[in-house]
Amino acid sequence: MNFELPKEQKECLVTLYNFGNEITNLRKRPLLIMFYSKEECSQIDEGDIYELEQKLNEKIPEGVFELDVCIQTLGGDANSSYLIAQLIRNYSNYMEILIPNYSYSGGTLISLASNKIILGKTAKISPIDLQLSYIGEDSPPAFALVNIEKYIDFIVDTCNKFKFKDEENKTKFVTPLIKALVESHGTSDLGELFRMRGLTEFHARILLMDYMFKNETEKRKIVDPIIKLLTSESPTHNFEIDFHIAKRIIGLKVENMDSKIYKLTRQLFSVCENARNFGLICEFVGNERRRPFFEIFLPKEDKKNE
Amino acid sequence: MNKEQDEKKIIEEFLKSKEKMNKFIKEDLGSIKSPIRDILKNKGIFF
Repeated sequence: MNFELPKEQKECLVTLYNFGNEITNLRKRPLLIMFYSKEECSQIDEGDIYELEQKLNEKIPEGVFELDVCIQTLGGDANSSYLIAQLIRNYSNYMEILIPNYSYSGGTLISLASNKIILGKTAKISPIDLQLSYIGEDSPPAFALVNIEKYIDFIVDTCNKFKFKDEENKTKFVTPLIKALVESHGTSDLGELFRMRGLTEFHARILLMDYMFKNETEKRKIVDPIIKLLTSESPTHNFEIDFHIAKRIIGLKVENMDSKIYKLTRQLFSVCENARNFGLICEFVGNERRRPFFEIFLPKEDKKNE
Repeated sequence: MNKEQDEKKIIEEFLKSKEKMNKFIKEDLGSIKSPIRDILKNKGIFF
């Protein structure tokens, strides 16, 4: 195999791995990096499940007691995100998620499988609401389920505001608005979105009850309001959730990130972006999918036992 | 191990791991992925 790379690419890789090793040694536990590029076709995808499984089998085949997962993603396929979360938990008894910048949608769902979410000062997560994206050129824009629900809320609020108590007046007002919605998105797509919402809530409930709130006595009472706030009661699909909202309003188990780890994890993802620019990581597989970058770092004492 | 050897090892391991993963994607991934997921994906339901 030819190990020759241009000097700047070698430096980029060495810097990336040095940051990974430094974080691992400071936190004294294995670290899984999950980096998804911001570029097109970088969503969480089914193929990622099997790539991650390969990586876990290669580096920690027997699993580990404690694992850190440092993640950055804009989200992606709903089912794959859930399966990735469960896969990681198959390899770790205790897991903390480190988010220095952002981990949206599917990335937020993966975070719900942790015992604790560690957020950087400016880090953001998001609702786990669904949106329907049409594939191909000249496709209509993506639309989110929560936006449809807000549209329906608007119709109901307007009826109340203008006191449409008379059924005939109410029907005259409501019918064209609902007709426009159905014409715009189609009955089957609307139905599919509402069906998938149930599935997403189901996934979130399993993860929160089995991991984050595993030791609580009244799990259901804690978990159900959290799920509502992350789905139907979220203001919009693009709503950003910082440390304060995540902890005080939503009620997730979150902690502020230590400033040294915050700096290192941000630097690590910045180097990941450079490595992607060089084409070292996040390459295209076919025309539709850009690979994520998964890597596992082991603390020094674990390396000696390898 | 000196710094130069350390760096050489990092790059060698990275490239070996990448080649192994490329082989897996090319030869095995297609048979593992379930066809039903492609149907869902074509509907474009994403977070």
